Amino acid sequence: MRPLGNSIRTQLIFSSFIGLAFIVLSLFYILVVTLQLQQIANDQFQTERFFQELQGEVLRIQDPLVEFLSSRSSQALADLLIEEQILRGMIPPVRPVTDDPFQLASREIFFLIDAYLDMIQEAVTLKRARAIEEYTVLLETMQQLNGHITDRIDGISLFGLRRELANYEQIIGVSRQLLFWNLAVAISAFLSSVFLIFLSISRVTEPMHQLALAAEALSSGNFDVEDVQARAVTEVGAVVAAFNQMKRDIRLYIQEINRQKEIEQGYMSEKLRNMKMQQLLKRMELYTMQAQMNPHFLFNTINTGVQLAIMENAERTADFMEKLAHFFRYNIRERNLIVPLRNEISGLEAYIQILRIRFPRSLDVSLNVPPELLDSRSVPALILQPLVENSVIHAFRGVTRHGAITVTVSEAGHIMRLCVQDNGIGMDQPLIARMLQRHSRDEELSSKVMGLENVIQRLYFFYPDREDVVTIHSIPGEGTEVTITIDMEVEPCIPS
Amino acid sequence: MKQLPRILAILFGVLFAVSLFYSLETILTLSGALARAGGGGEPREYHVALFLPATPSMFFDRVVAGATEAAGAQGVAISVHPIDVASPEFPLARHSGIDGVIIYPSYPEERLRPLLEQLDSVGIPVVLIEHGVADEWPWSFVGTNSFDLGRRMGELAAEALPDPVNLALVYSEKSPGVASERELVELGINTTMGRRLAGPVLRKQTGLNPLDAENLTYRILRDEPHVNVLVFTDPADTLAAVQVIIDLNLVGRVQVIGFGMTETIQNYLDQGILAATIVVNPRQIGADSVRVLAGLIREGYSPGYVDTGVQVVRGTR
Repeated sequence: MRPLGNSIRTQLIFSSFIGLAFIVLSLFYILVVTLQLQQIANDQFQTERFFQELQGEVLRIQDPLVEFLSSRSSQALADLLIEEQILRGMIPPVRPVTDDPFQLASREIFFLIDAYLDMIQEAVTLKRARAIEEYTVLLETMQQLNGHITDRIDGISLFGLRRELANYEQIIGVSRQLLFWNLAVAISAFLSSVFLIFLSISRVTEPMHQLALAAEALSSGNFDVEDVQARAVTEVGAVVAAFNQMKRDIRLYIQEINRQKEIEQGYMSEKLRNMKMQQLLKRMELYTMQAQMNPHFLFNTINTGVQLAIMENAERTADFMEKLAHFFRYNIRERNLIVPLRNEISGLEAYIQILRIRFPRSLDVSLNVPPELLDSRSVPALILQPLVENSVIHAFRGVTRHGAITVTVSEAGHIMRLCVQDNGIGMDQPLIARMLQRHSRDEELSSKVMGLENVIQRLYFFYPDREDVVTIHSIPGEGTEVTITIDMEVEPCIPS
Repeated sequence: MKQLPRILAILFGVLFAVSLFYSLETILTLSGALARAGGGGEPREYHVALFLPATPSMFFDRVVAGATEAAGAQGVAISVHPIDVASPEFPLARHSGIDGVIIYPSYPEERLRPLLEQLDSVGIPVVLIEHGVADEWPWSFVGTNSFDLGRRMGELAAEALPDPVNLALVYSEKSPGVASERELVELGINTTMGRRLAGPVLRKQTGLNPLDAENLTYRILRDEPHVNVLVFTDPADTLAAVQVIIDLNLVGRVQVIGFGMTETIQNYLDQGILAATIVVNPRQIGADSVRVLAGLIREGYSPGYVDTGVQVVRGTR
C-alpha cells in the first residue's frame, strides 16, 4: 500500500486546502474583528439607550399614579403596580461606589428612583387610608422628584454621550488602523497561500523537469549523467527512483556487453591461434613422419654398414656409423616438444662426435654444460643441434683458419642461457634482423623454415612474451654468438 | 531563483503573522481602553456629595480640586452638584443614596436650615464650607474665619496709608462666601482700624461678570473721590480695578488691596501697583471638608470648626 501522506493528490489537496483555509480563516478573522468593532461601537451607546428607556418608564408611571390617586381606579392601580414592577426591575440592585462620575451619577439616579417607587407605595397606602392632605403633599413631592429624576437622566445621558463621543473618535481612529492591518492580513494571507501552493506544485514539477533533462541526456547517449536528486512526492519520487535505476541498469548492461565483446574477441583470437598452431603441429608431424619413413630404412642400412665395418675390421668407420645412428635416433625418435636437458645434450654430443670424425683437424667443438642442470632443466627439443649445424654449414665457408664452436649452458637465478659461439665469418646486421624477425601466422603456416630460422621461430612460438628469447651477436670476420635465454619460471606455451 | 518562491512564502507568512499580531493588539487595546473608560473607576467606601454654587469661579474650581484629591486619599467617592434655590437637587439629595454632604451654603438660611435638618434626620452628616449657618445645632464648618479676614484687611489698609482711611469694600457674587458673612468681615475691619477710619466702610458689590469691577471702580472714584483705599474680595475684580487705577494715573494715591493670587496679581505686587493681596486657600478648604466629613461618617464625630487661615502678600513698596 502506497503511503498517502506524500502522494501528488494528497500534496495538491493538502496545499490547496491549507492555502484556501489560510485565506478563508483570514477573511473570517476580519469578519469577526469587524463585528467586534461594530459591537464595541454599539456598546458605547447601550447605556444611553438604557437611560432613555428608564426615563420613558419614569415618565410613563406618572399617568397611572395620578389616575389612581384621582379616581382610585383598580385598573389604574394595576397599571401603576405593573409600571412600578417594570421600573423596579430595570434598576440594578447592586450599585457600587466608585470614583467614576458617571457611575456615581447613575447610582444617585437609581437611589432616587428607589425613593420614588417607595413614595408610590406610600401614596397608595395613603390613598387607601383616604389621607387626602398627606397624599396630596406627597404627590407634589413625587412630581418634583419625577422631574428631577428626568432632569438627572437627561444630564447623565448628555454626560455619557459626550464621553462616548470622545470614545467614538478613538474608535474611528482605531478602526482605520484596524482596517489597515486587516488589509495587510488579507493580502499577506493571499500571497503566502499563493506561494505555498506554488511551492507544492514545484515539488511535483521540478523533479519532472530534472527528469526531462536527464532523459534528454540519455537519449543523446550520455549514460554517465548524475542521478536525478530531487525531493518529490511519492509518485514522482518513484518515477525518479525508477529512472535512476533504469539508467544505472542500462549503463551496467552496456558495460557488460562491451566486456563480453572483448572476451569474445580474445577468445576468437586465441581460438584462431590454437587452430593455426594445430595446423603447424600437424604439418610438423607430417614432416617428422616423412622424415621417419626414411630413417628406419636409414637405421637398418647404417646398422648393416656398422656390422659390415666390424667384419672388415674398419673400427673408425664402425664408430662413425654408430654415432650417426645415435644422432638420427635422437633426432627422429624424440617426439616430445619439451625434453630434459640431458636428452638435448645427448643428441648434440652424438652430432659433435660425427663432426669430430668429419672435421678431425679443422674444427674444434667444445661443450660446457653443468652436470647438475642435465636432469633438472628442460628445454624445447632440437634447439642446440640446428644452431651448431648452422655454424658448421655457414660460419666457416671460405675460411682457412681453424674453426671453433663452443656450446655453453649456464644458469643465473631462474634464467638459463644456452649459448652457441663460433669464430666464423660472422653475419651482417640485415641478415641478423631478418633472422630474428617474427613470422606472421600466415608465414608460419605457408613457409617451410629450416636450420637457425626454424629454431628461432620455434622459440618465439614457445615463449611468445619474451622478446629476447633468442639474441644474435655477431662481428663480421670474427664470429657469431647465438644465445637462447629461457626463464625457468615461465611455462613454455605448448598447444594442447 | 529556485529559492525565491520559498523566500517569498516565508516573507509573506511573517508579514501575515505581524499583521495579525498588530490587528489583534489593536482590537484588544481598543476593547481594553473602552472597558477602562466605561467600566468604572476605583471602588470607594463612601459616596459624598459636594454642593457648590453653579457660578464659574477659580475659587470653587480649587475647592473641587482639593476635595477630589482628598477624597481619593480618604477612599471616598465625591460627586459635585450645583446648589441653586430654584433647583430641587439639594432638597432631594437625601434620596440619592449619598453618605454625606459638603455644602457651600448659598441658600437663604431660613430655607437652608430645614434642609440640613432633614439630612441630619436620615443620618447624612453635613459639613459647611466657607461660611456657617446660625443655628442651635453646631454644624461642622471648614473655611476661612471671616472676622479674621476683615481684621487682615484692616491691618493692610492701615499700613497702606498714614492718613485717615476712606475704605471701600467691594464684595462679589463671584465670592459669595465672603459676601454672605459681610458683617463679620466689616466687624474685623472696624475692630482693627478703629479711629483710623475716616468714615464708615463704603460697601459695594459686583456681579458674576468679571468686568463688573472696572465700571464699579470708575464710579467709586468719580462719585466718591474721598475713597483712598479699595479692598476687593475676588481676584477678577482685583485685576479689573487695578487696570482702572493705572488708566486714571491714580497709582499710589488710591491704594488697592486685592484678593487671591494669580501671576498677574503677583506682577502688580512686584511693581507696587497693588499694596497687598489677601489669599485664602480654597484647595485646603476642599480637602479639609472631605477629611472632616469622612471622619463624621466613619467615627460619628469630627472637629466642629476648621479654620483654613488667611495669607497676606504685600507689594514691594
